[in-house]
Amino acid sequence: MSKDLSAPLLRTARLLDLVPYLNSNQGISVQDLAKDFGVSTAQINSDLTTLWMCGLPGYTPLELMDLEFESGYVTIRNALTLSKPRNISFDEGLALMLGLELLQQQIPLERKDLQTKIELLKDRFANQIGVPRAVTVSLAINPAIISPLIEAINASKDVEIRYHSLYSDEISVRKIAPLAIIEEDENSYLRAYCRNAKALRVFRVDRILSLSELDVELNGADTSMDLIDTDDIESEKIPYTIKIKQPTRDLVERFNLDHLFGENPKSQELTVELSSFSREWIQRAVLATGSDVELLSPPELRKEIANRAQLLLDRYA
Amino acid sequence: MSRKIERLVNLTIALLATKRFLTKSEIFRTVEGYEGTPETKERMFERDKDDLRTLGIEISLGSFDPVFQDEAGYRINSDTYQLNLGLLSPLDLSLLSLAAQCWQGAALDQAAHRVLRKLRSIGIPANELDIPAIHSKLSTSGRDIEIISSAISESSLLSFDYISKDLGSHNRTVIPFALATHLGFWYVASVDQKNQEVRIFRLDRMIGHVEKSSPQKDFEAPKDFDFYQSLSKSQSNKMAVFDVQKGKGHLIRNLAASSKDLGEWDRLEIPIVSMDNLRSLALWHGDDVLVRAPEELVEMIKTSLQEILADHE
Repeated sequence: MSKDLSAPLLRTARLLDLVPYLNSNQGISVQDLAKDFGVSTAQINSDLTTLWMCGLPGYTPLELMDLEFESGYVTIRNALTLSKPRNISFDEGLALMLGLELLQQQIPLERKDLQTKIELLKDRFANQIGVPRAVTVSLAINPAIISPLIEAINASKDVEIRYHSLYSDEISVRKIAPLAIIEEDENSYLRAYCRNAKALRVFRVDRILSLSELDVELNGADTSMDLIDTDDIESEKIPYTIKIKQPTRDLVERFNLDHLFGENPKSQELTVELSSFSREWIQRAVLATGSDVELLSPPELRKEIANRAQLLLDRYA
Repeated sequence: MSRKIERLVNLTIALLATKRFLTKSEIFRTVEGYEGTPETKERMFERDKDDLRTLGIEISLGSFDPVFQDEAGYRINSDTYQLNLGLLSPLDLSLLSLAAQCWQGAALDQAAHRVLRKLRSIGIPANELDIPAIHSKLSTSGRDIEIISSAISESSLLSFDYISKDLGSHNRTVIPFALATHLGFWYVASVDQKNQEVRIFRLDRMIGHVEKSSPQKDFEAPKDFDFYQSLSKSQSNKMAVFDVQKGKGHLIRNLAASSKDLGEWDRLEIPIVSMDNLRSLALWHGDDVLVRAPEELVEMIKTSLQEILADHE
């Protein structure tokens, strides 16, 4: 519901929610309050001033809420009527229920105590909130990889991983000191110091096939580096141009041409300029379209694609 | 504008604090902000009631003493207004907070933020838990998920435009009965109203608005439906045969129903769901893969290669 609320209604909702929040977080700073509510401090100050004027009918000083600002810190008194938080809406309940499910998958199975506890909470709220049990969610990343990985990062322990490099289609085993998980472009990446390459590397978390702990303490590796410094990819983007003979959903998704969605570009030949970090990827992607796409440039990749096609044809002859 | 907001907050407080129903005249007399002619006040009040309802605040109408048929009055029931999750321990609260945090930057981010603030307003301290909170990486508009979930709970009709394989968009009307994620995408399982068949749709392939309409009371969800099976397992008895070089073709190996060691190569049996997809997969892997059967697929690959060669020479 609240995504389409008008500005005054959004603000009313915020005022109603500010009271119980202040009530439970007495003495909170205006900065923290602004951060927690996702608005500017000027906005919070103006909200608090408005709240100051609100209260029970009668509007004598006794009936108004007491707000105290003391050098940037806020306390509230006399807020009895609004002291409890508002009920949760359907979308909030949904976030909570599905969040519990995601959480359950991240917690190691050995932690039976927590697993049971979450199961109980889910049962308890399913009816109350009215979220159908047929709505389920699972982690995009294998929990058997992610939870030991995070443990290793926190404990500064080395791990050994089996990693699938998609573009070169190779599986390698590496000893790494995992440093941090970075979220970018809808994917999770692991930044790590690779003991084999003796350099910093970035791995796609979903391509780590298995992981085992090594009992070695990590000794200070430099953690500052760019995302692009991985094994898979070159350091600079390679521009390329393709001619699409007949746009299809597969092509749009493979080459990330989302802007073509909904434009109804039916049966229209079109030329698109794109770029990629990997030559290998460009060649494989063009081949995989099965002649729905022609690579126009760069010429050396064009030639390479022709060579590959000839080579493959010979093998099928 | 700020006066209207003040009035809405005051009205909420007054209707929440009262033990009995307040009549309109009492409200106009005591709640600050109702000014002007009787008609103006009346209009203001009607709008305010609508606004509070939009915020999810239910105002109940009733009379003080039904026997004497008093003038009807208004109040807000604190049981429906207030959050009531029952007794929560600090551990419960920590788990719920972590659950909400799972959505940071993902599909239900906004709703999760709001619920997190409410949890922090309960006044129970949370236990510190040494559980890694990671992000769910499930993007796609949270709004669709909300609409679809509520449609599932009510068995309502949903209609939306869906991108087909040829990039055309077609309007679909379905009754959804399950929503699930698989490898980072959201899918809804539903009964298509055109042919009463079970259809699965990917949420990021829906375009424009998803519309929810009337609940279908006599709808029954298919009983033998297994979402996970339908999404992850290729259900086909027909097999393609791929020879794949050792240490290569990991994507293909994931799909294989069986594997036979041929020395430097492995011979894999792959269930045929879509010939186009298999052709694509074989071509992606270049000379690490040789397709042996069926003949039709081999011919498709050869034709594609000839065309690619002709295009790029």
